[in-house]
This record gives sequence, structure tokens and C-alpha cells, in this order.
Amino acid sequence: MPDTVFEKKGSLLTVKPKGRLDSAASALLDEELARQMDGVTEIIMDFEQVEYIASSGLRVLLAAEQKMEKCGGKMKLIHVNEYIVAIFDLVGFMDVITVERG
Amino acid sequence: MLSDHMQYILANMEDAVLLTGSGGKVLFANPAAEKLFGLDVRGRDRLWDAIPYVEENDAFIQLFIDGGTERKKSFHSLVDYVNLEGKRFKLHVTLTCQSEDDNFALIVIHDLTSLFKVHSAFERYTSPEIADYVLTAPGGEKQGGREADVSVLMSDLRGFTAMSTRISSENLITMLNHYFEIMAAVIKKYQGTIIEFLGDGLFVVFGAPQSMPEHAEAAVSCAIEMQNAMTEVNAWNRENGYPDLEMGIGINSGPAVVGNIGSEHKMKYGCMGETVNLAGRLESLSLGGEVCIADRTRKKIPGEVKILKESRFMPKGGKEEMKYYVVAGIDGGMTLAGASEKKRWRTLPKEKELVFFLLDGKTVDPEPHAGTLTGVTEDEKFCLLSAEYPLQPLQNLMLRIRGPEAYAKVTERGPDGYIIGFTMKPEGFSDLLAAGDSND
Repeated sequence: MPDTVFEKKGSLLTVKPKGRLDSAASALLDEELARQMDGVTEIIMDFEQVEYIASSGLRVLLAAEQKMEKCGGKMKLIHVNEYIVAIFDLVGFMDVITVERG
Repeated sequence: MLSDHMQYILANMEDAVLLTGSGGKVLFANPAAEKLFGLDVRGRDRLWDAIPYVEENDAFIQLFIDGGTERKKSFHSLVDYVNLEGKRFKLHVTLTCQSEDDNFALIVIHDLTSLFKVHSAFERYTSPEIADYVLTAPGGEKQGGREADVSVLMSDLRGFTAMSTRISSENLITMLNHYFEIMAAVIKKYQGTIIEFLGDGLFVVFGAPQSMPEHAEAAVSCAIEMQNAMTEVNAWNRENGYPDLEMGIGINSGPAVVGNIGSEHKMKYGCMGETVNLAGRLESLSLGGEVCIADRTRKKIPGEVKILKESRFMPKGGKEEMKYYVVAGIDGGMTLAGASEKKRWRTLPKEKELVFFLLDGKTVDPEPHAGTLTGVTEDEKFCLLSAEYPLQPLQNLMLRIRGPEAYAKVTERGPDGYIIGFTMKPEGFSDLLAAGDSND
């Protein structure tokens, strides 16, 4: 998954993944997140351009969420389309992460 | 009426049936589903309270994503499932999201965990090749045999029985299992079928149940690699305070009867015949570290076989002597590590007087004979023995040098005496040889 945009402003990290978060793309996202995580206490994931997310992708989100919880920070997803929201709902993710519908 | 029958069916069927809604809330679960996911006992009302988001459950979770993406279509898969308590299952799951507007999922699950366990146990208690044959070949599970052209490899650990009196049973089994683990991996590489673990030895067949035209070459290459693997076995032994082990291997090729032997209720996949007996005989002729192959085996190998020694033996009840070879490898193929034809001798600081006894099989002939050790090879695997008693090559001996007993086999008669190869040396043997005096 090329050109996932990462923007860091102090302790706020904004991530904008693009396209399909299949297992390969999820692995790359996970790696890059790990690299950018230093000193971050707030993550905003902009899902405007995300078309699909596989189960491995869900785990990447979960791991990021748990990291934030651990350091007393927070994470939210914004601009999530209805289809992805439906998927989150089916797998119980709406109880696990914060989603702002878009 | 229908409703009563449906209740009955859902309550008594083995398969788990669930209907989940928004957030994975369990709208319906039959008793089998409650049991599988612990819904009844743990008061969970969301399926996701029973399925952790871990990598092992990826395939299971993916079914929900597939079903949610393409509605009204049934998705099914054989998946792993690990629950919150860490218990593992193998499940066949079918999932359908029939509605476009609601996030309902209809899930039917067939639990295959025990079936997989049985299959895995079956493979482990026979061998993957035999398990595969019995399960998949037409008539594979029936009694009966056929004649097959095979190579038989027999191996034996030298000195193991003697060692077993000095080591605890647990340690013995640990050492043996480690040895078997390493050898089984080599045998698998050459597609040999382990017919049996015979105490501290192995009975392996090449060319059955699946036929293999190059079974002779596979058997010899396997044997060489097994010998080379003894370095690894002994490295582990030393690390764990166990003594070094040596292995002898015999290989013969020819026809054998292979098949399911036994009764309807208890069977095993066996291999029998003169070919097998002779392989065992060749193994008993081998010294530790040696691979002895029959002439028939050598003839079946297209490449050039590296021969260290050529000899003959008389098969029991036979009329003619048979040729056999001690080999170091195959040209262009595997070679014994450290194979060399020349023995390097050194004389002993002082000749060692000893008493020896003849061994017939495992029985010791009580009559003592006098002898003297006059030389030893650098690796201390062979000694030069002077004795008046006329010894024959291949004769097994028990030697007593001031108490400790060693076991050896006469390999040849030379101008200076008999060359004997040790099959079992007691601890401290090197010190005995190096000692200056020989007071008895």
C-alpha cells in the first residue's frame, strides 16, 4: 500500500492509509506505525481513502489503540465509510475503537 | 409442530448454530454453540467475548469480513480457533450475512478438532508415509501384502545396552528420543519409511509403501547422512553429560513382502523376508560408524560407490558366502565425514595384558583366553591384539583389562596380531591405555 500519509505534530500522529488494507498492506502499516510511535499520545486515523480492511488490518488498529490506552492517550478513526463501519460492527470493533462516521 | 421439531433438531444436533447481530451480540445459539463458545457458563452475550482478536483467529474473523462484504453469499472455511483460555480447535465454519440492511450473521460450525487429533496421532504412531498409504491408497487399510522391490536399512546403537545399566531410565529415554528425532529427520529427507523402532535401532524401508526406483541409492545416501548426523547427536550428548554413541548400519536390497500384517482389529504395516533378515545380518557385521551394504545394493546404484573395505559372510543356513562392502559414500553424492582408509597407529607405552572371552551373539563363553594389546589407533577405535588363540574375523570379544570390560570385534588378522575394533569402551579407557605399568 503505497503512500500512506503520516503527519506528526508534537504528540499527535495523523495517519491516512489509502486503498485496501489487506495482510501485506497491514504489515507495512504496522511497521511504519511502530517507527512513528515515539512520544505520541494521540492518533487520528483518517479512513477517507480506505476501501477495505482485512482481519490482519483490524489487529493493527487494535494494537495501536491498546498502545494509546497504555500511555493514557487516545485514538480515533475519522471519515470511515458506511461499509467499513458495517464490517466493524460485525466483528465487534465498535466496542473496541472510537469511530467517527464520515 | 414444525417449531417443536426445529427445537428438537437445534437442541440435539452436534453442529453449532448461531445468529449474531450488531456488535456480535448473540441473538440465538443452540446448545452446541453455547458449549463451544462457553456462552452458557460465562454469561457472555457477545460472540466477540469468546473470540480473541489474535493472529490464530485471523481466518475465523476474516469470514465475518467476507460475509459482510458480499451479502447473501455463503462463505466457509476450515479455520483454527483459539479461545480466551488458550484452548485450540479446528473448526469448519459456514457464515452468511443474508440481510443487506442489518448486520446479522448466520453461523454453522462443525467441530473437527478430535478428528484432527486422531489423524495426527495416527501419523505419529505409524509414520506419515504409512498413515497416508492406509488412508488414501485403494485397499490401503486392508490386510494383506504384496511383493515389492526394496532396500532395507537396519541401524543399531553400539554399546547402548551396556550403557543402560549405568544411566537412569529417564535419561536413557531422553537420549534415545533425541537420537531418533535427528535420524527420523534424515530418513524423511530420503523418503524412507520407518517400519519399526527396534529398541535402540531402526528398521527402515525404501521403496514401500510408495515404490521408488532409486531405493538403493536413497538408502545408502540416507545411511551416510545418518552417520554424519551422529556428530550432532554426540554434541548434544556431551552437552547434557551423556556418553558418546556410535551407530552401525546394514543395507540390503531385494524383494520383500510388504503390507498390513495382523488381524482385522490390530494391524501394522510390516516388511518381511530374506532381504530383511540379511540386512539385519549386515548391520551386526558393521562396526560403529560403518555402513555395510550388500553386493545387491551396490549393483543397484548407478554411480560409483566409495568402498572402504570388501568382505564376505556366510548367511545362516546358506551355501554360498555373500559379498558385502563397507562404504564411505557415493561419487557425486554423500560422503562420510572423516572417512579415511588408513589407520594411524601408535604403540602403547607399555603392552597391556588382558583376558578376553568369546561372544556368541550376546552369550559370553566363560573360558578365558590370554592376550596382549600392543598398539592403538590415534582415534582409539582400534587396537592391536596379540593372542595365541586362533581368532576369526568378525568374532566378537569381551576384554577385561584389570577390571573394566570392553567389547570389540575382530576385523582382520595382520602380521603383528589381530586388529580389533571397539564396540564399547568403558570410561577411563584412555587412561588405562596410557598408564605406564601393567600389574595385574
